[in-house]
Amino acid sequence: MAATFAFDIDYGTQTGSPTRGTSTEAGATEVNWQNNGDPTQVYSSNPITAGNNSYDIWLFGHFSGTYNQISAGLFAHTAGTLGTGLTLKGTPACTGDGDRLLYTTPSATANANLTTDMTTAIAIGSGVAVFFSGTGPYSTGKASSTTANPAYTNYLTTQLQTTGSAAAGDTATVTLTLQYNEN
Amino acid sequence: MSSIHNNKKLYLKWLFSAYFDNGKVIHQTSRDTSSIDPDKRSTFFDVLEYEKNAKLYLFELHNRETGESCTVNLNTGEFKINNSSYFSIADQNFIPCNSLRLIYFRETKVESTVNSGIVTDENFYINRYFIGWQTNDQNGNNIQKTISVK
Repeated sequence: MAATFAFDIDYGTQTGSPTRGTSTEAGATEVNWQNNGDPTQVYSSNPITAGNNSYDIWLFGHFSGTYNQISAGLFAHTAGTLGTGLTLKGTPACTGDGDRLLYTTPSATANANLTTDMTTAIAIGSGVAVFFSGTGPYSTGKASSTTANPAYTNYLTTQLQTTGSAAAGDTATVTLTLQYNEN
Repeated sequence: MSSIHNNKKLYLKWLFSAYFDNGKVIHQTSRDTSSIDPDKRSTFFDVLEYEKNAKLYLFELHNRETGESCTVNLNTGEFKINNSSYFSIADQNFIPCNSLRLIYFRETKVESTVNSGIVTDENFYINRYFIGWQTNDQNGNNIQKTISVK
């Protein structure tokens, strides 16, 4: 056995309390900013028209396997430059259980809760704090470290917002980094 | 292996050994699995459990590839790299009011390269290994000293 990490994505209509998506894509290998809230859809068939936004993506980290503790999470855009007219908005820092982002049904409307401007690449050490807990990304009890197994980050939600000046075609390559400590 | 992401297994270049004052030594293997709770816990869990009944006095990282080592002595606060001492609490201007407690963790990164909304590559790796100690000074302030290796 070994500790296992996966990125998962919640999507669909918000449900439950605390809110979460009706569906989860486990072990997501693609993160598509697109004009569709279903992460399993092909992005090229759902392009974002300049002046509009992508659907928000409700990404989160999922830990299982063998470990003692997961702690000190950080999340940031760490490399690459987005073009003119593109703004990447992201989850606020989670420095208390009450800070965790509450799931809302993905849409192309600008998500006012995504208060972190992630457009410019920064060092991961300056990234937003990420908290952890058992049960799920939506659950209460988030803390800076956890021994729960399995464990989840808070939602690492992002949305690509555009203006009419955004160039047609693919965006530049950017790198999103999640850093955490494990022992 | 310490971690798996999308079938990529992390390679543990530095393995630890934990030495207790009753002679017990716990060695981390490349599988990094607890002997107490092998389905959910890593070897470090065993160290913390054993420490409840015996004093941990030395913690060593050993590089499997180069044979290099670094240690932290929890009796003296001394760090050694390849048996050369370079730091101890004797160098500090404070008196610890509690014993030194071990710090050990691996800084891990998952880097997703996104191109036009598509993840084109994922780097998943241990960036640094940290060992050290923490204690409290006379005013109750937490004092930490760590070193890291790549």
